[in-house]
Amino acid sequence: MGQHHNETYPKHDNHLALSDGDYHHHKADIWKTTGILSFVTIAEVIFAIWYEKSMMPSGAPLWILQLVLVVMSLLKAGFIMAVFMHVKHETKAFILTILVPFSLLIWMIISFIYDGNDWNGRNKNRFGEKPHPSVLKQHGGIVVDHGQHH
Amino acid sequence: MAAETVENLKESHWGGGVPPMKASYGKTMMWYFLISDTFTFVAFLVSYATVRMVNAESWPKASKVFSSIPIPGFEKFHDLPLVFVSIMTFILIISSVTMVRAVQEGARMNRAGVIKFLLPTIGFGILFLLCQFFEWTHLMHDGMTITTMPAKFAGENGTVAYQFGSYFYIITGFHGLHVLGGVILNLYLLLRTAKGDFDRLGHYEMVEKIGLYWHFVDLVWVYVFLAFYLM
Repeated sequence: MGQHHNETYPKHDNHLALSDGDYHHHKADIWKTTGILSFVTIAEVIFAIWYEKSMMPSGAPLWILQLVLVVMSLLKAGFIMAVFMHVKHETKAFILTILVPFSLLIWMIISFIYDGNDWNGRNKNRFGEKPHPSVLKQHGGIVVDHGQHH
Repeated sequence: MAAETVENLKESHWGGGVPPMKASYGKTMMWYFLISDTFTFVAFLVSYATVRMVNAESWPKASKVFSSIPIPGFEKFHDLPLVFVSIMTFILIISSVTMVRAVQEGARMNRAGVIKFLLPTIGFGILFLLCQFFEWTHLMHDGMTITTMPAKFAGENGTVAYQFGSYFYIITGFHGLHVLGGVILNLYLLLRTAKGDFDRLGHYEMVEKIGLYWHFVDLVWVYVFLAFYLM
């Protein structure tokens, strides 16, 4: 049984027959990736705080911050998948099996965000103004009235 | 045909004589599960993004909501936006590193090595859950619950979107549940490794499969961190 079982796990599978060279190579790869993930995380936090405190008050748009952060997060996700989940050592067909289904998410994300933006735009009166906070209160918002809406 | 059980399929290279895409049955199925779980998390996060855009003017600023160190005794450190959650992120990254090392040692059939790296992985997982416990307690103390938001977190129009709390607790809670599941799986793994089950079986593939799940939990956190804390 034990002998037979070994045969079900192919010898050319990288992770089950790790040679000395591969072992040290993968180990170095892991530490490099750890450094990149840590660096990108720190950069994200510093960039987010800096942009909000120094750039947004003078009119810089939020979407630039969001775009930069999404790109940095995609980078992190890519490294986690490629190295930690060793996707880069899989066969091309296996990589495609994993990645192709995610393309279904592209339209989902675009359409829902478009919808949210559209609803926000409709939440205005005929003069193009947002409703008074007291109106929002009826829908669950909690009002902090600073008086500027009167 | 009745004899074609899952076990039989595994024994015969999925029934086709060769392992499809050079991947074992278990690993492929773990990936399929992770793909489906990705869709669940993306559905949550896309729903969050939609509601946030509808309520853009009353959405609380993350730097205002998450600005203290919620550990008892450290409350006097406030106005430190994102510091605590950055520490939580590091805990998860480091636990992923120790997990991937355990997987490597498993591939080398090194039982002591697997145990050596599984222990810190479990420790960091529990530490992350503790951090989440402290953060939730602190936020609830502030008045942020699944149905209410305190006025002090008001967005730019002076009102506060009550949905923030709902989405925050549901999504970070669902992620926390995954971490808890991972800790339990890792404990099971530790137990079986210590018993020598995998040496007898002839391979440490279970470490690899549970490792994939653990990295996925780290991967999801990248996006939860992005959606709630950074943006």
